[in-house]
Amino acid sequence: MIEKLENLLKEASSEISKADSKEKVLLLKTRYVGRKGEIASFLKDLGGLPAEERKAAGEAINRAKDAIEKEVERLLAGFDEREKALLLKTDRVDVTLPGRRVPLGKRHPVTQVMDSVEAIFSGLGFDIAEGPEVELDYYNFEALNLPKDHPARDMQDTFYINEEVLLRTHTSAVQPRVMERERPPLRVIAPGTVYRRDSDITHTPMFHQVEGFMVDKGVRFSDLKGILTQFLHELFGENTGIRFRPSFFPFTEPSAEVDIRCVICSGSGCRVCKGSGWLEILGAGMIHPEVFRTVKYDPEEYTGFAFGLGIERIAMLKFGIDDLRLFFENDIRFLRQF
Amino acid sequence: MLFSYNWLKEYLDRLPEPKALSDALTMSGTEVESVTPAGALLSNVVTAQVLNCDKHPNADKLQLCSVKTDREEFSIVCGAKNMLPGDKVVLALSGAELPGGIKIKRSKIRGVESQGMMCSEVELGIKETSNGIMILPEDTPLGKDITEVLGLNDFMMEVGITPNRADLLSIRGLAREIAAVTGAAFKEKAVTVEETGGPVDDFVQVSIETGAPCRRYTARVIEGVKVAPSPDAIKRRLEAHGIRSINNVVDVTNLVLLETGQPLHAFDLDKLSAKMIDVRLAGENESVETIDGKVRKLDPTMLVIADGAGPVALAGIMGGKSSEVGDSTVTVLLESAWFEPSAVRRTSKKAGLSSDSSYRFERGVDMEGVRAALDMAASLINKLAGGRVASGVVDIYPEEFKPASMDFRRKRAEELLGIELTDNKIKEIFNRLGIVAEESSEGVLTATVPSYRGDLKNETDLVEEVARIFGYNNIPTTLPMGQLMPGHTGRLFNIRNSVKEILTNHGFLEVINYSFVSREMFALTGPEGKTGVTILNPLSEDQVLMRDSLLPSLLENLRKNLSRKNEQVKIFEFAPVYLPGGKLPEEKWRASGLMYGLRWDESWNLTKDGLDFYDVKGVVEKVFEGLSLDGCEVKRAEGVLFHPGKSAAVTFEGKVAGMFGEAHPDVVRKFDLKKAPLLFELDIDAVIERYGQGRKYKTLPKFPESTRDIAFIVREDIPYGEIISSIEELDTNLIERVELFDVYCGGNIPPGTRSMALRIVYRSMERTLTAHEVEEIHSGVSRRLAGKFGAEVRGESGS
Repeated sequence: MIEKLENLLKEASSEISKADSKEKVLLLKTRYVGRKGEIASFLKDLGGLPAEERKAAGEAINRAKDAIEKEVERLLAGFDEREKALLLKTDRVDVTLPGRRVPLGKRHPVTQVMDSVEAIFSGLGFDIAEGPEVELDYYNFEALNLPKDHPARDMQDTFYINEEVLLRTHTSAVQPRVMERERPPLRVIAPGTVYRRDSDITHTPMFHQVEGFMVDKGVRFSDLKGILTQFLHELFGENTGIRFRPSFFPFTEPSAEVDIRCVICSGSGCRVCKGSGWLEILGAGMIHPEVFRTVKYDPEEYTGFAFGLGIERIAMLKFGIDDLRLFFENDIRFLRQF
Repeated sequence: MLFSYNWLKEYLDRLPEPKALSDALTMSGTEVESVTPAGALLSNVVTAQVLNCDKHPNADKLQLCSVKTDREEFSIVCGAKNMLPGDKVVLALSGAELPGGIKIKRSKIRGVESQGMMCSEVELGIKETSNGIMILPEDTPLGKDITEVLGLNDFMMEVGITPNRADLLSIRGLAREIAAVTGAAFKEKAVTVEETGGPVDDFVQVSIETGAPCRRYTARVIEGVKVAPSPDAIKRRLEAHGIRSINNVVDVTNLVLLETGQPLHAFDLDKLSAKMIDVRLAGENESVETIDGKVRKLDPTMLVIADGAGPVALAGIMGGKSSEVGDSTVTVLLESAWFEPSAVRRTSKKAGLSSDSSYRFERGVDMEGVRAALDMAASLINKLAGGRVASGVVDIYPEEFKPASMDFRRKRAEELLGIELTDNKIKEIFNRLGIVAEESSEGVLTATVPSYRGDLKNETDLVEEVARIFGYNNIPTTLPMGQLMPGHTGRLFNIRNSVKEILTNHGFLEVINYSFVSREMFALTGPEGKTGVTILNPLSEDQVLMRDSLLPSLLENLRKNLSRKNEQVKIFEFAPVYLPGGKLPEEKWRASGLMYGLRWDESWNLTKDGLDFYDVKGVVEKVFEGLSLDGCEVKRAEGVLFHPGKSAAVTFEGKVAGMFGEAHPDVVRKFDLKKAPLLFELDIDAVIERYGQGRKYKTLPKFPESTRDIAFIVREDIPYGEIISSIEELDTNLIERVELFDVYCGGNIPPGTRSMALRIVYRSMERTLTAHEVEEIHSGVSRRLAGKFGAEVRGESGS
């Protein structure tokens, strides 16, 4: 029997190694090691052997079976490998066809700049406050040291609802509102929409500002310079040149205008900076003692600074937009770009 | 405001070059916006004298002249004949370039060499017309650069003067500031008036009515003047500063206004009734015709200059037509006064009229400079128009000006600025600014400010002056000291951010529209006859009402985009609407959106389905889900902008929180659309209080689910929402969820009904449900559908 087994094994190996397709290997597998295959018939004969031979014969049968199965597996794996290789060669897509794309929505570029300004000041420990857009003359002007008949009111052409109510001309109106309600120390920014009665190529009747202020004991002009320098470096890059020059706002004193080195020409002079090499980017100053008195803070005890910046202008610089009016036309080809 | 560099030079020694000057001014708070060369840039054009003129040998119409400068003689061929030997002329030499692009070189004209060209005013670019070549005054030196002689080598500086610095609204004032910030030396001009006429009191009587807002009124009379056009140099100077030349008398008042900042007015004294001037408030029903020919109605809040018959000028703003100085004027009454800024501003606003005069009075002129300006003008008129200046001056000055004086604490300045100062440094700065400082105690100076610095009223004003001259860029950069605290954001800030996040993730582009709309757009959202927040002084009829809904703006955005062939539009806006309320309108925040076009952008691998109601409903549901606001309900509702059959309101905890659906066919027509857009408008204020509570984790189930499907036919008018809530309430513990996976009408489904297929998921959190338990509830579902809704159950299956 052992001899017969060995012959079978030889025959099987030779047959299997000659098989040239997966199907043929599978057929041979059935023939030799299938349930009714040749090996199985040996098992059937096993029962007829004497008990002392049975064990050795059984082991030999199993060895032969294992050997054939291994050989089959090896060959099958080879065929699978070839088949897979073939498939991977032919099963391909045109990777340059467009993807199944659901367009991304975008925040308005003004919002995006607003978001970054808010994030920077949030990181510097400033709270975010808001106030009404339709505002009392009192908060927009009077509480900011701009009494009626003050010529500086001409700096901002105003939309009126009635004698006492107007569309706020600056987010500075939030300043006395917050100070009236809270006590120092304060670090606040107030982003929002503002309105001025002005419409031409460089003015829209509605635009956006961020007002900021800090009030505490011992706040100095040098701190104002420090905070704004940090902010501008964060927004425009570490190496941006910055200069502070005196200016006038009724609600700050000393007042300053802050310029950055022109981001377009790096200071050599161009159309955007009108040849000066500098871009006016924000207005600032130490909060006027009159403003403190109005909200019942003692100007001898507290000092503070305030600043305001226009968002559209920054958005134009950051994105290279050359026409202010694009922001409010809402052409989706424009909105999609940012 | 425009300033001539050369004019400034008349007041300053060592004036820096224009570029350095503008930097110095800008960095000390007076922004120079531009510097432009005035007139043409001429070179190699000099003054010369004609020696003799002969006929050109080869041409009848030309002359051959010999002309000399201080050094050389030239032979010049010339077509003009208006010059005589001895005349001083303008000679362009070889190499010169004239404004018209003419280049001068030696050349032969009809066989005779011409070594240059004698120029006319037109050729020099200083006049529109001329008769022949320009003849210069006899005392003109020879060989001098013509740009210097004629003052053509000037620069005009455009300077932004801040409203507090009224003292800089003049050549003299700016020169004084330049001296302070650059160290250039300021020099006063000496003015002498030769009084050769009779006593001024014989000519005119002046009074200021008690209580009238006029603190000083000075006047002089010049008799026997000859009114004529001004000399060219004066015309050029005025025009360069944007003022039109009128005649020699009026021009002087304007010139002195520009030079000193003091507005002046010249009256034709012979036309003043009763030869008197009364400064007073107008009476009821009075009026005056101003020089511009307009009749101005007056009221008792307006300040006027009156004669015996009535108002003859709006004080400090504009003179009257009847007493205007013209060609026939022989006696001039010259006024220089100080009117209250607020009175001039009020009168100017009421009359709707402002002028170079009112601009300066409103900001405050120097009360102590009133008389000096009067004298300067009188002397100039005398020089240009002749006549005799009456002796004596009218100067009504009831209460003399008292200079402001205040304490200045060095420590306070140091603390406010973050720098260290010495008393000497402060005194030096004050000295440059004309502020007189005396030490009153240790570290405290008493500062007295000059009369022209009305803006310096308190210590902080002086701190700013110190900082300005010290130089802002010399102040260090520090970070504030204090407690470290995180920045807080408000609920509105957070919900706005979340809504924007959700909608942009959903493919929406954010738009920003003006808050004001036209009456028509406002009316669109109804109801009829509603009131809105109206702008008193709109820029245009398109921007007259504050909107009470964002949707009309979005529809307008759609229309604009479609006209530009942008056919796939998904936009949203987050903004307040304004509802009439108490003292201030209510501002309610809305998140609104519009969808139009295909569900997906057109692409080879996406379906080309159009959008429908359920797309916008999906967006609204997504917003609520994203805000963690569970439990909103949707009910059929109608709104003016919406299709009544395809719109709904969403309510949250009983409050209406918004509306959505398809646009009404009328809206589609009004905006010229091909199909109906889908709209939503959410009322953020209705949910803001509940926002931000977040969600709590629910334990993941440990036991398996069983699902059963059920299909049935039911009347079409029974809302799905009712069916599903009726199923859910059967067993709120074991029915985990119900999914609708098919809705079908038509075919073999009877008209008026529809077929629905639901998958019901059953699960217990405590145990595995037996098939029997599930069957029991599920047959209950079947019975409920049949019993409550008359549904015909067509099949059930399970797994």
